[in-house]
Amino acid sequence: MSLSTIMSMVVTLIGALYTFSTLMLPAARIGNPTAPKVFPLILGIALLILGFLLIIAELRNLPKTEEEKKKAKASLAFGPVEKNIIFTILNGILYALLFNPIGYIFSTFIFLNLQLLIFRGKQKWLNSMLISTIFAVFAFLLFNTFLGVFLPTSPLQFI
Amino acid sequence: MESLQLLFHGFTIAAQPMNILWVTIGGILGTIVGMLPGLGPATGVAVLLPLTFTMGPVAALITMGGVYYGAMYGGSRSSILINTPGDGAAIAATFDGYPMAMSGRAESALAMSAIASFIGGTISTFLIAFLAVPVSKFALKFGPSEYFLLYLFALTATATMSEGDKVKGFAAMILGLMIATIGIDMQSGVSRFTFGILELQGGIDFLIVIIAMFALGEVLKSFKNISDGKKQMQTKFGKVWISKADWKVSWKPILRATPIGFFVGVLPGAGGTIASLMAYSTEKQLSDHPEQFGHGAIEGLAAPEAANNSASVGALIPMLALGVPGSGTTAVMMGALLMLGLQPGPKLFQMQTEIVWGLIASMFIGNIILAVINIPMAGLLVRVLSVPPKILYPIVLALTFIGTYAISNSVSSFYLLLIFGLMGYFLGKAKYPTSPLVLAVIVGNSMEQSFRRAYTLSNASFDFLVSSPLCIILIILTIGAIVLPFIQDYMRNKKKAVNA
Repeated sequence: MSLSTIMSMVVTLIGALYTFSTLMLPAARIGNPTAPKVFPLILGIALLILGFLLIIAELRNLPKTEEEKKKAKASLAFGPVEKNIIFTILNGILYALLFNPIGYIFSTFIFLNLQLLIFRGKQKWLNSMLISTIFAVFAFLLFNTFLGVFLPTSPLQFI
Repeated sequence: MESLQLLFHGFTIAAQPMNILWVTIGGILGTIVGMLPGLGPATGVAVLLPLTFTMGPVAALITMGGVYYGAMYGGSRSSILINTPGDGAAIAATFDGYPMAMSGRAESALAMSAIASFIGGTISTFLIAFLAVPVSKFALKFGPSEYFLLYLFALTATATMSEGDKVKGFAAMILGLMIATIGIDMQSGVSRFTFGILELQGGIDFLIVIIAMFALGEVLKSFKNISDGKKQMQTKFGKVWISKADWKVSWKPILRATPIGFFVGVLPGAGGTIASLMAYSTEKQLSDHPEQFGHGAIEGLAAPEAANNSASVGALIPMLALGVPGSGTTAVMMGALLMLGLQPGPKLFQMQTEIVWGLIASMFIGNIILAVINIPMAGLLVRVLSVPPKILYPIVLALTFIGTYAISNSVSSFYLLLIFGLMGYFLGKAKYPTSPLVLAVIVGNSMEQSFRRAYTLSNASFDFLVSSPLCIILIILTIGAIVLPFIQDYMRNKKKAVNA
């Protein structure tokens, strides 16, 4: 199965779920009771139809030759790029968790360092730390001091 | 005449030293982001959006305008020097630009690309100055049903005219509209599709979806370039300028490509990529020596460069005058306008003349500044290309997070950023276009409101779809936008079958 086939099923599933949730919506107490439902209902049904069309197209284009089968499999392969993406997402979650407790500068320093570590390896750690520090401090000054976007500070208060 | 007066007034605003500074800063930053492989103007504006948060609307728009065409210029730099287009619109610049650089004519290629972009951008700014007012006056007559159908047409065209599978384009568009319906319905108070999650009650901020799809998602997609290794690139340049002979073969193609680019840009969904490819193939057909195209013919670089900058200006007309964006980048700019509390559309031209004309005038100034930046300083700017993506991408990532925080002031939006970023990545990998989705998220709310108003006005029936001649024209256009690409595909396949 290729990624494209899976996506066509996901789309259909979203269409079904969305249509179902639309029908479950409570009637509006103000104005026309069905007013909030009409537009979403059109969307839900449209996506369901599109999902079916996509599945049909996928079934008609099922890989036949060995080469095509390989290609379909390759779209789901787990390589270094996918590893980097999973890492980046996890790093982002860690960033979100640390952001308020330890403040912008420290959490950004950790986020950037980890990100640079995975891309560049351990050899250039000093250079990576320098880049992270400069970016974190510069961005903090730019946004917090000049642009008036208040960023959280660490328990040390001043940064 | 009215337009000229307004334009003059615009110049008095745009020529203020602070605004010139902003357009310069925006232009330089945009050029840098545009040069990064895989990242184009939409990403540039999305990443740099938070910088404009505390500016006034005029300065913010002028800065974003600078980023927009800066990224267009930047995209061609990397096409010419490392054969890696920054975005779709810069693909055509690789056809002849890269062979030119390979044969030791990088200086002429860089200069020609900047000159052609400058001419294309300037002429089309004149066109926008004279066309925008009539278009906006015409649009004042639109009622809710016309608006609903106009949104429908713009979204449909974006879905079917973008590259790849049309059905996937439609699916992306509907997904975007669905995202826009999440949250408490303002008219009835009914909470829709929030699944009991408190943070979703206020709806999903479209700016977060924009940053997630165009900034985070694009960077995730670009991870595959990281392992490419360093590309050999020329870093020392002679005088960046063109010869008389170069100019002689190029000026006509530039003047032909500019109007093509402009009108393709005005059409929803088409945009810079199609404009530049169309200009390229037109010149190839008209040329006395088509065999040189693809091997470093300078007019094959000049024409698409003029066309794509011209298209980027043309694309501003539907966004500013109708409030209906037709491309990813103009959608992002519209998002930014809405954030500043301005509703693009005909009323903007009536009430906020300063903003509109300040922007248009600043486009003239911005074009001059960018040409100046990109010709004498070309050697300095392209140094960015020698900084490895391994360092640049993490920095862009960090910028997407701070941008998201600046918009929402809350860490919970980081999770939305990650979810939609991943969604953008998977959609892109399965060949779903993301522009229709983002466009739909931005106009979704207005589209539903105009739908509901029109639906109520015609007593809860669908009669409003044919309530005026204009509605019928819009419906015909929408059907055309659906059917035309299928006919084209069919013809192409038939031709292929005959040839095979």
